Amino acid sequence: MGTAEEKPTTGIEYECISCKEKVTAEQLAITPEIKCPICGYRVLKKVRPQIVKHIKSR
Amino acid sequence: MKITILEQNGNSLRFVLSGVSAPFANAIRRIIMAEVPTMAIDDVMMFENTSAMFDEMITHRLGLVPLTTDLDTYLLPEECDCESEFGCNNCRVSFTLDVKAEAELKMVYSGDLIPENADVSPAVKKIPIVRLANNQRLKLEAYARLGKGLEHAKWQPVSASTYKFMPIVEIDTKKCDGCGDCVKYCPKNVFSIEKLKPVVQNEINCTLCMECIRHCPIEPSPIKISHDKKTFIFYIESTGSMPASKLVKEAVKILERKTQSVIEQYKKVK
Repeated sequence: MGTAEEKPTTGIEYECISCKEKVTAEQLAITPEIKCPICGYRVLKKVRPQIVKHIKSR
Repeated sequence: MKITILEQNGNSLRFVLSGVSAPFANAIRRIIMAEVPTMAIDDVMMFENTSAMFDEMITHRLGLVPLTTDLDTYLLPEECDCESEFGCNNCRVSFTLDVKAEAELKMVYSGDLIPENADVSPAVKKIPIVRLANNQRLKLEAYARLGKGLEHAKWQPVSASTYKFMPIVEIDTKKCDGCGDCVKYCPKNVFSIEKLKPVVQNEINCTLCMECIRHCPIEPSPIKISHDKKTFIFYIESTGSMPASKLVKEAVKILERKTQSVIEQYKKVK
Protein backbone atom coordinates (compact mmCIF):
# COMPACT_ATOMS: atom_id res chain seq x y z
CA MET A 1 0.00 0.00 0.00
CA GLY A 2 2.41 2.69 1.09
CA THR A 3 6.15 2.54 1.52
CA ALA A 4 7.49 1.64 4.99
CA GLU A 5 8.55 4.57 7.19
CA GLU A 6 12.29 5.06 7.55
CA LYS A 7 13.21 5.98 11.12
CA PRO A 8 16.67 7.62 11.43
CA THR A 9 19.03 5.36 13.41
CA THR A 10 20.97 6.96 16.26
CA GLY A 11 23.97 4.69 15.70
CA ILE A 12 24.51 4.18 19.45
CA GLU A 13 25.71 0.63 20.09
CA TYR A 14 25.96 -1.48 23.19
CA GLU A 15 27.82 -4.73 23.84
CA CYS A 16 26.58 -7.55 26.04
CA ILE A 17 29.10 -8.51 28.72
CA SER A 18 28.54 -12.27 28.52
CA CYS A 19 27.92 -13.12 24.84
CA LYS A 20 29.81 -10.09 23.45
CA GLU A 21 27.22 -9.39 20.72
CA LYS A 22 26.61 -5.82 19.55
CA VAL A 23 23.09 -4.43 20.14
CA THR A 24 21.76 -1.08 18.90
CA ALA A 25 19.77 1.37 21.00
CA GLU A 26 16.65 0.67 18.92
CA GLN A 27 16.83 -3.07 19.61
CA LEU A 28 17.04 -2.36 23.35
CA ALA A 29 14.04 -0.02 23.18
CA ILE A 30 11.79 -2.92 22.00
CA THR A 31 11.34 -4.44 25.48
CA PRO A 32 10.72 -2.22 28.54
CA GLU A 33 13.53 -3.90 30.50
CA ILE A 34 17.16 -3.58 29.36
CA LYS A 35 18.46 -7.02 28.38
CA CYS A 36 20.51 -8.60 25.64
CA PRO A 37 18.08 -9.96 22.97
CA ILE A 38 20.38 -12.94 22.31
CA CYS A 39 21.31 -14.36 25.70
CA GLY A 40 19.06 -12.35 28.04
CA TYR A 41 21.92 -11.00 30.24
CA ARG A 42 21.04 -7.66 31.84
CA VAL A 43 24.45 -5.96 31.92
CA LEU A 44 25.53 -4.10 28.77
CA LYS A 45 28.52 -1.95 27.99
CA LYS A 46 28.47 1.13 25.72
CA VAL A 47 30.75 0.81 22.70
CA ARG A 48 32.87 3.93 22.06
CA PRO A 49 31.49 5.74 18.97
CA GLN A 50 33.71 5.93 15.89
CA ILE A 51 34.20 9.69 16.12
CA VAL A 52 37.61 11.33 15.88
CA LYS A 53 38.04 13.32 19.07
CA HIS A 54 40.23 16.42 19.15
CA ILE A 55 41.96 16.98 22.48
CA LYS A 56 44.34 19.69 23.62
CA SER A 57 47.51 18.48 25.36
CA ARG A 58 47.29 20.83 28.29
CA MET B 1 82.39 40.16 30.50
CA LYS B 2 83.85 36.71 30.07
CA ILE B 3 82.55 33.16 29.68
CA THR B 4 84.58 30.09 30.66
CA ILE B 5 83.14 26.64 30.04
CA LEU B 6 83.83 24.29 32.96
CA GLU B 7 82.24 21.12 31.65
CA GLN B 8 79.96 20.02 28.84
CA ASN B 9 78.45 16.50 28.88
CA GLY B 10 75.73 15.67 26.38
CA ASN B 11 72.81 17.83 27.41
CA SER B 12 74.32 19.59 30.42
CA LEU B 13 76.60 22.59 30.51
CA ARG B 14 78.44 24.26 33.39
CA PHE B 15 80.11 27.60 32.72
CA VAL B 16 81.36 30.70 34.52
CA LEU B 17 79.99 34.10 33.52
CA SER B 18 82.10 36.91 34.98
CA GLY B 19 81.88 40.69 34.87
CA VAL B 20 78.07 40.96 34.95
CA SER B 21 75.53 42.07 37.53
CA ALA B 22 73.09 39.74 39.30
CA PRO B 23 70.01 41.07 37.41
CA PHE B 24 71.72 40.30 34.11
CA ALA B 25 72.57 36.74 35.14
CA ASN B 26 69.04 36.27 36.45
CA ALA B 27 67.57 37.55 33.20
CA ILE B 28 69.57 34.97 31.24
CA ARG B 29 68.48 32.23 33.65
CA ARG B 30 64.78 33.17 33.41
CA ILE B 31 64.79 33.55 29.64
CA ILE B 32 66.35 30.11 29.19
CA MET B 33 63.55 28.61 31.27
CA ALA B 34 60.52 30.49 30.06
CA GLU B 35 61.13 32.26 26.77
CA VAL B 36 63.30 30.13 24.50
CA PRO B 37 60.82 28.45 22.13
CA THR B 38 60.66 24.64 21.97
CA MET B 39 58.58 22.08 20.13
CA ALA B 40 55.94 20.11 22.00
CA ILE B 41 52.73 18.29 21.07
CA ASP B 42 49.70 20.53 21.51
CA ASP B 43 46.79 18.91 19.63
CA VAL B 44 45.85 15.25 19.41
CA MET B 45 43.22 13.61 17.17
CA MET B 46 42.20 10.42 18.92
CA PHE B 47 41.04 7.70 16.54
CA GLU B 48 40.98 4.73 18.85
CA ASN B 49 41.76 4.35 22.54
CA THR B 50 40.79 1.11 24.24
CA SER B 51 43.58 1.40 26.81
CA ALA B 52 43.15 1.76 30.57
CA MET B 53 44.03 5.49 30.52
CA PHE B 54 41.50 8.05 29.37
CA ASP B 55 42.06 10.30 26.32
CA GLU B 56 42.97 13.53 28.14
CA MET B 57 45.51 11.80 30.37
CA ILE B 58 47.28 10.22 27.39
CA THR B 59 47.39 13.52 25.48
CA HIS B 60 48.72 15.27 28.59
CA ARG B 61 51.55 12.73 28.77
CA LEU B 62 52.26 13.12 25.04
CA GLY B 63 52.47 16.88 25.47
CA LEU B 64 55.22 16.46 28.05
CA VAL B 65 57.47 14.35 25.78
CA PRO B 66 60.55 16.47 24.83
CA LEU B 67 61.00 16.84 21.06
CA THR B 68 64.18 17.82 19.21
CA THR B 69 63.69 21.38 18.01
CA ASP B 70 64.93 23.25 14.98
CA LEU B 71 64.35 26.95 15.58
CA ASP B 72 65.47 28.01 12.10
CA THR B 73 62.91 26.00 10.14
CA TYR B 74 59.77 26.59 12.16
CA LEU B 75 57.97 29.72 13.34
CA LEU B 76 56.00 30.47 16.45
CA PRO B 77 52.28 30.30 15.59
CA GLU B 78 51.90 33.99 16.54
CA GLU B 79 54.49 34.91 13.92
CA CYS B 80 53.30 32.59 11.15
CA ASP B 81 51.41 34.14 8.22
CA CYS B 82 48.87 31.33 7.93
CA GLU B 83 46.92 32.44 11.03
CA SER B 84 45.00 29.19 10.94
CA GLU B 85 43.95 27.34 14.05
CA PHE B 86 45.73 24.14 13.12
CA GLY B 87 48.78 25.70 11.50
CA CYS B 88 50.56 25.05 8.23
CA ASN B 89 53.80 23.37 7.27
CA ASN B 90 55.83 26.26 8.64
CA CYS B 91 54.53 26.20 12.15
CA ARG B 92 53.33 22.66 12.82
CA VAL B 93 54.74 19.10 12.71
CA SER B 94 52.60 15.97 12.85
CA PHE B 95 53.18 12.56 14.42
CA THR B 96 51.32 9.30 14.16
CA LEU B 97 51.04 6.59 16.75
CA ASP B 98 49.41 3.20 16.18
CA VAL B 99 50.15 0.46 18.70
CA LYS B 100 48.12 -2.67 19.34
CA ALA B 101 48.81 -5.26 22.00
CA GLU B 102 48.38 -8.80 20.70
CA ALA B 103 48.69 -11.73 23.06
CA GLU B 104 50.81 -10.18 25.81
CA LEU B 105 51.16 -6.84 27.64
CA LYS B 106 52.75 -4.09 25.59
CA MET B 107 54.10 -0.72 26.70
CA VAL B 108 53.65 2.27 24.40
CA TYR B 109 56.85 4.32 24.41
CA SER B 110 57.60 7.85 23.20
CA GLY B 111 59.68 6.22 20.45
CA ASP B 112 56.46 4.85 18.92
CA LEU B 113 55.54 8.39 17.85
CA ILE B 114 56.43 8.46 14.16
CA PRO B 115 57.27 11.97 12.96
CA GLU B 116 56.47 13.27 9.48
CA ASN B 117 59.85 15.03 9.55
CA ALA B 118 62.81 13.35 11.24
CA ASP B 119 64.23 16.70 12.42
CA VAL B 120 61.52 16.99 15.03
CA SER B 121 61.27 13.68 16.87
CA PRO B 122 61.15 12.53 20.49
CA ALA B 123 64.46 13.35 22.18
CA VAL B 124 64.21 10.26 24.38
CA LYS B 125 62.67 7.10 22.91
CA LYS B 126 61.97 5.12 26.06
CA ILE B 127 59.49 7.32 27.92
CA PRO B 128 56.51 5.06 28.77
CA ILE B 129 53.15 6.53 27.74
CA VAL B 130 50.61 3.83 28.59
CA ARG B 131 50.55 0.07 28.99
CA LEU B 132 48.24 -1.94 26.75
CA ALA B 133 46.72 -5.27 27.67
CA ASN B 134 45.47 -7.98 25.34
CA ASN B 135 43.63 -6.59 22.28
CA GLN B 136 43.83 -2.96 23.44
CA ARG B 137 44.78 -0.42 20.84
CA LEU B 138 45.96 3.18 20.78
CA LYS B 139 45.69 5.04 17.48
CA LEU B 140 46.13 8.79 17.22
CA GLU B 141 47.57 11.69 15.28
CA ALA B 142 49.45 14.37 17.22
CA TYR B 143 50.40 17.91 16.14
CA ALA B 144 53.35 19.70 17.67
CA ARG B 145 54.05 23.41 17.57
CA LEU B 146 56.58 25.87 18.94
CA GLY B 147 55.78 27.49 22.24
CA LYS B 148 57.35 29.08 25.28
CA GLY B 149 57.64 27.88 28.87
CA LEU B 150 55.58 30.93 29.89
CA GLU B 151 52.50 29.38 28.33
CA HIS B 152 52.83 25.78 29.55
CA ALA B 153 55.57 23.83 31.33
CA LYS B 154 55.82 21.32 28.46
CA TRP B 155 57.52 24.05 26.42
CA GLN B 156 60.29 24.47 28.98
CA PRO B 157 63.51 23.40 27.21
CA VAL B 158 65.48 22.73 30.41
CA SER B 159 65.20 20.52 33.44
CA ALA B 160 67.67 22.74 35.35
CA SER B 161 68.65 26.37 34.81
CA THR B 162 70.49 27.68 37.87
CA TYR B 163 73.44 29.77 38.91
CA LYS B 164 75.39 30.48 42.08
CA PHE B 165 77.92 33.09 43.07
CA MET B 166 81.62 32.27 42.76
CA PRO B 167 82.73 31.49 46.34
CA ILE B 168 85.87 32.97 47.89
CA VAL B 169 87.31 30.78 50.67
CA GLU B 170 90.39 31.91 52.58
CA ILE B 171 92.15 30.49 55.63
CA ASP B 172 94.50 32.44 57.83
CA THR B 173 96.77 29.52 58.78
CA LYS B 174 98.64 31.55 61.42
CA LYS B 175 95.50 31.71 63.60
CA CYS B 176 94.44 28.10 62.86
CA ASP B 177 95.09 25.35 65.45
CA GLY B 178 94.93 22.48 62.95
CA CYS B 179 91.98 20.62 64.59
CA GLY B 180 90.67 19.48 61.21
CA ASP B 181 86.96 20.01 62.00
CA CYS B 182 86.43 22.10 58.88
CA VAL B 183 87.72 19.21 56.75
CA LYS B 184 85.41 16.80 58.57
CA TYR B 185 82.21 18.86 58.43
CA CYS B 186 82.42 20.40 54.98
CA PRO B 187 79.72 18.67 52.85
CA LYS B 188 81.52 19.52 49.62
CA ASN B 189 85.14 18.58 50.49
CA VAL B 190 86.38 22.12 50.01
CA PHE B 191 89.25 21.62 52.49
CA SER B 192 91.99 19.07 52.91
CA ILE B 193 94.87 18.73 55.37
CA GLU B 194 98.39 19.51 54.19
CA LYS B 195 101.29 19.66 56.63
CA LEU B 196 98.85 19.61 59.61
CA LYS B 197 96.97 22.71 58.44
CA PRO B 198 93.81 22.90 56.31
CA VAL B 199 94.14 24.12 52.73
CA VAL B 200 91.47 25.04 50.21
CA GLN B 201 91.55 22.37 47.51
CA ASN B 202 88.14 22.75 45.88
CA GLU B 203 87.00 26.35 46.23
CA ILE B 204 84.50 26.25 43.36
CA ASN B 205 82.36 23.53 45.03
CA CYS B 206 81.65 25.62 48.11
CA THR B 207 77.94 26.28 48.65
CA LEU B 208 78.49 29.05 51.26
CA CYS B 209 76.79 26.90 53.92
CA MET B 210 79.23 28.14 56.64
CA GLU B 211 79.40 24.74 58.40
CA CYS B 212 83.19 25.08 58.61
CA ILE B 213 82.92 28.37 60.50
CA ARG B 214 80.18 26.97 62.74
CA HIS B 215 82.36 24.04 63.82
CA CYS B 216 85.61 26.00 64.04
CA PRO B 217 86.68 26.19 67.73
CA ILE B 218 88.43 29.55 67.28
CA GLU B 219 86.44 32.76 67.40
CA PRO B 220 86.61 34.80 65.19
CA SER B 221 87.31 31.95 62.80
CA PRO B 222 90.47 32.05 60.66
CA ILE B 223 88.25 30.83 57.79
CA LYS B 224 86.76 33.63 55.71
CA ILE B 225 83.85 32.76 53.39
CA SER B 226 82.56 35.37 50.97
CA HIS B 227 81.47 35.54 47.35
CA ASP B 228 82.29 37.48 44.21
CA LYS B 229 79.20 39.53 43.39
CA LYS B 230 80.06 39.79 39.70
CA THR B 231 80.92 36.20 38.86
CA PHE B 232 78.33 33.42 38.38
CA ILE B 233 78.62 29.68 37.89
CA PHE B 234 75.75 28.55 35.66
CA TYR B 235 74.43 25.01 35.31
CA ILE B 236 72.08 24.40 32.38
CA GLU B 237 70.59 20.96 31.72
CA SER B 238 68.56 20.60 28.54
CA THR B 239 65.73 18.06 28.18
CA GLY B 240 67.07 17.10 24.75
CA SER B 241 65.26 19.67 22.60
CA MET B 242 68.44 21.59 21.85
CA PRO B 243 72.01 21.38 23.11
CA ALA B 244 72.50 23.50 26.25
CA SER B 245 74.98 25.83 24.54
CA LYS B 246 72.39 26.64 21.86
CA LEU B 247 69.87 27.48 24.59
CA VAL B 248 72.22 30.04 26.11
CA LYS B 249 72.85 31.62 22.69
CA GLU B 250 69.12 31.86 21.95
CA ALA B 251 68.46 33.35 25.39
CA VAL B 252 71.02 36.07 24.74
CA LYS B 253 69.39 36.86 21.37
CA ILE B 254 65.98 37.16 23.05
CA LEU B 255 67.38 39.40 25.79
CA GLU B 256 68.93 41.63 23.14
CA ARG B 257 65.60 41.86 21.30
CA LYS B 258 63.79 42.80 24.49
CA THR B 259 66.23 45.55 25.44
CA GLN B 260 66.08 46.91 21.86
CA SER B 261 62.30 47.17 22.04
CA VAL B 262 62.52 48.98 25.39
CA ILE B 263 65.03 51.45 23.94
CA GLU B 264 62.76 52.06 20.93
CA GLN B 265 59.74 52.69 23.13
CA TYR B 266 61.79 55.07 25.26
CA LYS B 267 62.88 57.01 22.19
CA LYS B 268 59.26 57.41 21.08
CA VAL B 269 58.16 58.76 24.45
CA LYS B 270 61.14 61.05 24.76
